[in-house]
Amino acid sequence: MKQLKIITASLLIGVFAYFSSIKELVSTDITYNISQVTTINNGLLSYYAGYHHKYPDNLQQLVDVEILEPDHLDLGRLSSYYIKDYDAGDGDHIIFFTSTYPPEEKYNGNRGIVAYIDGSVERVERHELETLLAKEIVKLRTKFQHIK
Amino acid sequence: MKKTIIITIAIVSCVVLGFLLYGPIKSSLNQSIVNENLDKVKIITKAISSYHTSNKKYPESLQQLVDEKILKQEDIKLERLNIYYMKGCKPGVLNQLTFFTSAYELDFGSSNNKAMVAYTGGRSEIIEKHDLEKLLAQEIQKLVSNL
Repeated sequence: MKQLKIITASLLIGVFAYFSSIKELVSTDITYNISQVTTINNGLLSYYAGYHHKYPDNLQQLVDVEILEPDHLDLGRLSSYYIKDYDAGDGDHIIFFTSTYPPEEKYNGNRGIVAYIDGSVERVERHELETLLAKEIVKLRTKFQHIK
Repeated sequence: MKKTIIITIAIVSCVVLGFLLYGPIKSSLNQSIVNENLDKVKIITKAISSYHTSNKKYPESLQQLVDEKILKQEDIKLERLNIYYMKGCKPGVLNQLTFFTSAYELDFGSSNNKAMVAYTGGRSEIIEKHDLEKLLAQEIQKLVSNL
């Protein structure tokens, strides 16, 4: 009976420790990723300021011109998307965002990080990221219609 | 002592059985929701297409299709899914992303990572969520480059 209690208690402690360590790891991961996205976004702004008000064709170009180190572009398990060609004075458009690629990651599978052309960066839930992207499309289509 | 062992075995058996049955039951429930939602996506896509054919423009919102009695209110309610409509900007151009759905709830199981996408012209497909994000990014890039 005593042995049974010890085994059950050890199992419960093991499970608790496992989930706590995963949460801790994921939270460190996200904080690190946000600071990295901020660095990339600052890199894009520096490029824009220093290269005749043009954005780079891709993020690798930021490394080529030595604004960023190659490590800065390594976002680990995140996929990233860069949208080129905005006019910097054109409001709060999304220029860069990340989201988790293996979507089955239990804790951070539903998170994304969004960077805007005004230099701000925010962490959003995945469904919020989709809403933001959809709104961006609607905003651009409306603008497109007015121009045409 | 014997009674305690029997009770422990019974509890462990129930937990194991529960774990074994939980997956298949949840998956079958999810599958029926996915199928039902997919049917609705097809109905909405056709309705947008037929609105465009008759009016030579896209509706402002899906609610407009209901107001004009092309769809019923229940047709635009998809269980446990978010739905986003993006009005087509250039009438007549096929394969523009016109709307998409994606699972909101975190516990939606395997279908949590799927999204349904519909295009102007009537085509619709099921894709992974990261592909949806890629598609949205490409659509934004296309528009930004053409502005």
